[in-house]
Amino acid sequence: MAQFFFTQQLARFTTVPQVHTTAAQLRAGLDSAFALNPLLRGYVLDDQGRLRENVVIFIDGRRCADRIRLDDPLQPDSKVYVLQALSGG
Amino acid sequence: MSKRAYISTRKGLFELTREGGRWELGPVHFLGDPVTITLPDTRDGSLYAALNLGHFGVKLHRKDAGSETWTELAAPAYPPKPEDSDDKADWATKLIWSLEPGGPDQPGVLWAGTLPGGLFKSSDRGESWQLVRSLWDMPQRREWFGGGYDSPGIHSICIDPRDRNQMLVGVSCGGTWRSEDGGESWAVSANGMRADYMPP
Repeated sequence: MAQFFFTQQLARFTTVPQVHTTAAQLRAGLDSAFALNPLLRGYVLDDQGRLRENVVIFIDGRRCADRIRLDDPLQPDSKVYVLQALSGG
Repeated sequence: MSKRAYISTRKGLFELTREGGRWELGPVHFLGDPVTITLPDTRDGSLYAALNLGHFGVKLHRKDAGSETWTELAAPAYPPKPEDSDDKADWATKLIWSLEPGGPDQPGVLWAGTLPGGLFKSSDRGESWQLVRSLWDMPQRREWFGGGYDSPGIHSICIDPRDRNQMLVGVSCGGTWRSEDGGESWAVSANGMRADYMPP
């Protein structure tokens, strides 16, 4: 099953669940996590269900392709990291 | 004179108490996090704090009277934007800029003003929120524009303490809007307001 890892920065604010999911796409996998903690959704997605501007998701080392549809495929052994996007110089 | 003050800052919520003629620093809440506005609700003694966590968005918390702990509530959120909409506004809460209680005879009613310009109402102590469509859907709303922020926002909500149906909201930049029926309908009320730097 695909595994989701949420940045520990999020644990400062809300419960961060351990997620193992059979979901075939990214959004469905995220929904599995939001089912365990509905408040988590607002930390990762905005009002329109898009990935927040300063949040980034990597699936097996690749950045998610579409921040609106979130339809990247997941493999049974996928590892998905949900992180805050850092910037600066 | 009140003996307590709440100071919302970009680094937390600071509680001050006045004793012996001077202000003393009391508890500090949400240390290190941006608190955009705080509302002490004198109707039931609860305290509300709105945060803007940057990466993770706008949040709202409530501390009930006598409690030491905060509970996270659902933050005001915009409904799905219709796919065929030509509205240029981003229907997503960027900031809770104003927060006010309803009338004394409306326990649990709260109003929140946000960027990008939506007014929200809660009837259950902030557990859930509804966008006030009567104002959001006014055609003139699309002409509002940002001042210090990129998008417009409601910075002030005034409820007449003698008659809760009399409401006035201030918009930056979009004038003041008045409702005489508790938010069911709105009309601009900005006669005489004119910025010298704007074209006539």
